[in-house]
Amino acid sequence: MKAHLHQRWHVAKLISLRGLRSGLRGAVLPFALTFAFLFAAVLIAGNVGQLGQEGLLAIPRPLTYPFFSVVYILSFYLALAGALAIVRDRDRGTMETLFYGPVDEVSYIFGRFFEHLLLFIAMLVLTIIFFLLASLITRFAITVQFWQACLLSVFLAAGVIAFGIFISSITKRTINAVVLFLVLMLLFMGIQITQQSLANIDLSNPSAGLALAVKVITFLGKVVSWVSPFSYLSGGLRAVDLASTGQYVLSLVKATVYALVLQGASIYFFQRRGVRK
Amino acid sequence: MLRTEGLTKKYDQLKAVVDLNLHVHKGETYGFLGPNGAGKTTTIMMLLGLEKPTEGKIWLFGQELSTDPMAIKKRIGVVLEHQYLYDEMTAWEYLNFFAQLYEVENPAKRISELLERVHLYDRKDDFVGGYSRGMRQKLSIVRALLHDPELLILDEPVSALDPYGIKEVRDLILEEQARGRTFFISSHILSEIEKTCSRVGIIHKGVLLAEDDMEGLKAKVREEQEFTVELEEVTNSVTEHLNQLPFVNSLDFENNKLYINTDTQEDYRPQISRAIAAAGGTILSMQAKELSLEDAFVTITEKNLSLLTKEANK
Repeated sequence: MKAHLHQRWHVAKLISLRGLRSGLRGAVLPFALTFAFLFAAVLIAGNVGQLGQEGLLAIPRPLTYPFFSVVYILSFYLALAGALAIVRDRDRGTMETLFYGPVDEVSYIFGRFFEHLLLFIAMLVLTIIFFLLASLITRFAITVQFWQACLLSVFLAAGVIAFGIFISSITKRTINAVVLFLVLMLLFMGIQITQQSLANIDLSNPSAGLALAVKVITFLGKVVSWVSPFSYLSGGLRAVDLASTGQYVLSLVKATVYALVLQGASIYFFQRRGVRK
Repeated sequence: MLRTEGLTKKYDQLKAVVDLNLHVHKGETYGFLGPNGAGKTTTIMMLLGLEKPTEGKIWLFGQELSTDPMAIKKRIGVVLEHQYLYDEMTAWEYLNFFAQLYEVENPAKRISELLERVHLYDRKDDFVGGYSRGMRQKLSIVRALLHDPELLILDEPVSALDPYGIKEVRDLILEEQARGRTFFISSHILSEIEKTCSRVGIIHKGVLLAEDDMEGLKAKVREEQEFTVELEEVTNSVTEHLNQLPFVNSLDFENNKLYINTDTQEDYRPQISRAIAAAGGTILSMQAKELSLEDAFVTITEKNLSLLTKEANK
């Protein structure tokens, strides 16, 4: 048992480091980072401009929302990368070569998971450097909440990556994985937007149809809040924004459990699907 | 070393492998032959645990594969027909990754040694994506040998190679054979199997039709033995004498060459020599026609096909 664990850990570590090196060499990562930093820079510049125009003396947490935006963009990129991870490896046949050797489904799935998590941590380091520089230039303070958000973002990214890998484990082809991922994202967003829109409608005396629609959407909203990795991300970042320690800790726990459950499901489906093309 | 018992794989109605009983001994080189779609790759995939058998069991190194697949597969080296490599890595990085995966001691030394053996050392820092098909094949062979495996499973190991590369790989196999390595080689290139394998199994439509050493296999399909005898002159007396011999099935001649077909019960060369001498003939040379593995393979698979057709017509 101990030997198995050691072997699995050894294999997972090697698979993740190999993938990390490939990811860092790839062309998409710099593009995603540049896009995220540009977006954050625009938001920070907006905050600076707002200060100048409105003669405000202070803006609460002027770097927090730009940081959240970077986390969202990078998480989306990683979720998509995760969704492609297994299915592309199978398509290329490289997965088969790995499984000729001492690799099993558990070590493989965890290897690919840690690969993306390490990639996120590498990007997070660059993001922190970016925000420290932004703080120096704009003199906006880096608060404790910023550091809390940094720590939390690793756990939330783990959930997002696990979701991507789960998608990859249940699909047969690269294109299917991309389509399924995008359809689910749009579906989750659609349900959440509809739920928010319904919240703004006066429902004191609703028609029977509207009442049913509200019930269905509320139910779907609850499902999405459990299933969508981005609802964990939103919830966690909201906890940071509200400076709620209880919510913060709960978000850490929820994101970890979510990631573990999805990892288990990925292993199950991967075992059923097999290694060969 | 490798044993299967009643190994069967069915895909819905299709029987890819039927009741396969293989036995590969330690230190031997076993050739696994069969036409396309015979079930060779499916068998190999089951041996590696990448396909689950519908029925039957597999033992490797005396252990059932399902008991500890990770540890068992660590003792096997595999090269299959298609080379799936990480194109974005250099050859050195690629081999180093696998060396670590198999926990090879002193990987740098081992990688250098093997790359030199296949003449790829000078290209070690090139990206694998830029390698030719033959180079990729050789790189895969190096990968399979990195951890000094006890058993090597090779599927078409020389299919992508030029004659020079084929000789390199053959020499490598022979060297490893001499070190006591066990090989399980599946190939269409029968001449290569003949040069490297000590025992052969022929699979067709998922069924193992024959399994024996080279001589045994050839003897199984040999119904007649053909001799070519070169004489100073072929006379009527010589042909009459030979035709009277009970073991001669047929006789033909062209210029000064006689073609004699006999049964296969024994080596009739002494009797033929005596008969020719008694008829006043002078023998310049005599040769028994050697049956190639290719002849044996074609005969066995064709025989099987005709049997299957007959059964279907019944």
